[in-house]
Amino acid sequence: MSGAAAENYQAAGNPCRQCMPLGASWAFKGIEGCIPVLHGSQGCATYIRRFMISHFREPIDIASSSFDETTVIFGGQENLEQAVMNVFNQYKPEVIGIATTCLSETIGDDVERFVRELRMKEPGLCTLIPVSTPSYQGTQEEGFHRTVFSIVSHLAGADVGSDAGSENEQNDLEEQAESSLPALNFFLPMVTPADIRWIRKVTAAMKGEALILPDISDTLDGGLWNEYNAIPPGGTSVDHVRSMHLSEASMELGALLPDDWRPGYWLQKHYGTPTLSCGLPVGIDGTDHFFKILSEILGSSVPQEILEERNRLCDAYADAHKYLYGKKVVIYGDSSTVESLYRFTSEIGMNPLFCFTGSPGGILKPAIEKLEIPPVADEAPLILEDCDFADAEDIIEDRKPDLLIGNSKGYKISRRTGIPLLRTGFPIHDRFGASRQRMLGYSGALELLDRIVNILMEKKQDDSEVGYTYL
Amino acid sequence: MSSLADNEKLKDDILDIYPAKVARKRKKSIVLNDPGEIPEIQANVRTIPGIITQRGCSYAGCKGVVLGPTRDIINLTHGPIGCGFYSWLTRRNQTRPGTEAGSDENFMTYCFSTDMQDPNIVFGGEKKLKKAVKEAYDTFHPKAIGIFSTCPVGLIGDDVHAVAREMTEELGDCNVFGFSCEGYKGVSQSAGHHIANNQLFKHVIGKGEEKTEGEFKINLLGEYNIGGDAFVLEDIFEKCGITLGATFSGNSTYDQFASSYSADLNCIMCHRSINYVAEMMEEKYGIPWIKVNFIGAESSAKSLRKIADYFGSQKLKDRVEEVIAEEMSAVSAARDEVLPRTEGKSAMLFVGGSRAHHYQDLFTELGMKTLAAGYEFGHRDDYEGRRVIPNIKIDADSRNIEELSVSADPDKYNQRITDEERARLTEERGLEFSDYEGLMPQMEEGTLVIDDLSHYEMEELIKAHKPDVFCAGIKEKYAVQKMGVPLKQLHSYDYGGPYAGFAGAVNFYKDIALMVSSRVWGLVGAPWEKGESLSPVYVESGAPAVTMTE
Repeated sequence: MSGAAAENYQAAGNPCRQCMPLGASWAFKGIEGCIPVLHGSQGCATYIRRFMISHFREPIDIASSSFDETTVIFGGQENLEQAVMNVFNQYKPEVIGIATTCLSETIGDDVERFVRELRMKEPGLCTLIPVSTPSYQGTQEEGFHRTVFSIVSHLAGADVGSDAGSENEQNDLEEQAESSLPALNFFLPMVTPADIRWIRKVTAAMKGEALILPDISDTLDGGLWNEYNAIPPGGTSVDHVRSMHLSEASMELGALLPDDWRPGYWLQKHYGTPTLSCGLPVGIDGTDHFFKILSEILGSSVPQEILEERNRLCDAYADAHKYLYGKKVVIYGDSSTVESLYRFTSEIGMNPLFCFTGSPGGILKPAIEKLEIPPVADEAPLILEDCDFADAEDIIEDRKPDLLIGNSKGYKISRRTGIPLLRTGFPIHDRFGASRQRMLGYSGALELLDRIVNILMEKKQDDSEVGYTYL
Repeated sequence: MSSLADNEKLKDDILDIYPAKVARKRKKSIVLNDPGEIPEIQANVRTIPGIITQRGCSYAGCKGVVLGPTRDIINLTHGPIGCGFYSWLTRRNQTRPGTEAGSDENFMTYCFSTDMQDPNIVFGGEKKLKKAVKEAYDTFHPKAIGIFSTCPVGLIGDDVHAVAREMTEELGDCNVFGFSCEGYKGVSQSAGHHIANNQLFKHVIGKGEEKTEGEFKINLLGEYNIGGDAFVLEDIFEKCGITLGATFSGNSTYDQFASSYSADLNCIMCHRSINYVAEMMEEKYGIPWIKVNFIGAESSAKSLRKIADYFGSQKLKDRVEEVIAEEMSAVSAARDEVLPRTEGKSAMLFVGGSRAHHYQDLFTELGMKTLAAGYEFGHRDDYEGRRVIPNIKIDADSRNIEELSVSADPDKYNQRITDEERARLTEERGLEFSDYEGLMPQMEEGTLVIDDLSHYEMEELIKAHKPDVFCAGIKEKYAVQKMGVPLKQLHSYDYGGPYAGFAGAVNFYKDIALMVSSRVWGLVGAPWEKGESLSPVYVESGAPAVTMTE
């Protein structure tokens, strides 16, 4: 019931997006030794924890400055200081990430100033990174990217921000950077831990070192522990972020946001660190493009093993063609996932006839239009932003797709219409292994392709009166 | 592993890490139990900023818990999108809409939000709210619409109650009411329960002229139908010939709330979230209330007997005994099957405002000992019993929750039971009215009772006692399991259940037996990491490399 489909409607019915502080928490969880603090009511931290935990099935601690009614009147400085000091004393973190909420933003708390003053008062404190994330200004995607930007702009380099470390430290970092493999910064949207592991692996295979920000590959998909850790191990270290300006280059994958929120762009502007940008490496075309850039920067060729993966994927495309060609698919979720899957499904011959996101900001539509992919069918695909499930349901019923691809929140539509739903993106609350889903690279595309083909086969078999055993 | 005797030291160790001021405050919420002389516990006080709590907010308690399970009242969140999204079908409340037109409404699968944006924060959101109410009404024509305020609403001065009044008038056949349940109000979701129930009491309960018909009419208060618990209880009542007028608020309808004034007894499951409604209904309509507990087979039997005692009918008493006997045979069989695996094991429970108490009964039935327990959002009376209510200090947070002044309804008041009869039932049958004795009298001496257990305290408890099962929620689940202890979610039942009544007890026995039988914990750490010898056994020369079976 939002703007796009029914212009008179004001409210949202079954929204297809979450709030900014969720994206902020996600980004902070990818920093080593980091505890996020949400500056506002404790409900924000609680809701976001329970929501992310049921997707990742991992411990996720997020603290809160627990506003009460007097805080609302007198401002949140004292609460924030108390919260930071208590988290610091209990968890001994290396970083405390502070994201604002609707409440603290509405009362006008100047968190940047609170942080500056607290640092002066408590010189022994760990690194503090504030970010402004009121939910009424954007979705989890904006919250995530703003936070990544804030982490880089607060930490990277010597002369920006008081947390950037001393000159000596910077010299050490430079030496360190020179002595090892060429480092590459990677900035990605909210992808799975398994896909982040893939980035690191292929960069190593190409004789480079990937500095991925944020890196949730261990923190949100870790093993069982022999000993309890108050903060899960893993994540991008603060030192690595500090030295990001010294890397060979930055790669922004799937960056759809304006330049203001792009950390690679910022590094290039302030430090001259070259930045290259390409879509998320999804599908053959997307991954080819990625490897072309990677081999150019690192000056090494793509290893045989990866080429074999590519070849295997081509073979699978050929084998799968008869199951996929012209099949109508609806894709929804956050902008970057939808844009990637639009490219992928088009590449494998499906017809992505309707794509939607809850994000309002004029991001998805231009991104897809820019691709200039010729449509499979006569009818041009419908791309809607600021769209919720209530609106989407009517369109889905009307266009009768063969498959839905998106997060768990589309299940009700799938159940009502009988159209199968392939779960991907966030949140996934009714399937297992969301953190291990792959999409990136040739190998990720193959996993995704297998899943798509199988769900269509299963549907065909289940619906068949004959009960074919060969499909 | 520590024993209960070491708990005094454990408490000191836990407090040691806190700064002095925090330690002083937390000390009062960590208590060594003494059922003989119940110690005072500090509860329902603000969580200290930066202490990672499992508590939610006022909005969560109001919209998520109390009104969430109501299927024919449209729940419209007034605020930015996050709060509405996160409370959209999160609590696994189940419901069974009717099949005929008019009774088949179910709005629980929808998430309605005004989705406030920057300009609404700057210029106010009332206009958008009115439109949203109108949209919801035009689309669904519901009997009622509830408007739930999120944090910014109070701050920017939107008056949801004025909008509600205006829209009720404008729409004519739709009861619109608002809730001032901004997240920062009160110390936990408990404040939200109170705000929700006050508004239900003001705007819905007793508003109908319809009456519940039946010989033995009760309402069930504080049962939210997580995982289908209310369905199990509905079945039991039906079998016994007891008419269930309204359940607050699992599997409920607006009309049931409206006519609930005509029941003859209120039975309270979750004392925390709704005891004040029972009190108010007694004053206004003359309905007495008793505390019941349908978690645990023995407790379910006891609760049914209490209801039968109240009505005093021999027919009902006989029927109740028949039902109990019938149900108990399956329960005993299930219990005998799992007891060898569960007996002698231990549990800790940190959940809710009543579950940490109720579920101890199930563990007792499994032969398992409760080592420590506490509530997330309980008050002192939930721990120490209602007798302490007059002594509870009213702080600023409690003062902010409206206290309704209630008097007997001139038309609908009807005293169901004389004072003499009440006294006789208490004396002869041990039936306590308007009473709840709390969690502490039931727990063993020396066990730890901790209110609003923090994440850090939880870690220390587990390190010290290594319980066989830890009961809490999803926020704790994976942290606890990283420590090698299985966690049973008692908010969502780990997507299992129902656990109420006799059938529920059987489910719970099986699920706990399954949890304590997991082999995975033994696999943590590869043998070479544990320093075990890895000498391979080679095939002896001359022997065949592969043994073939015939």
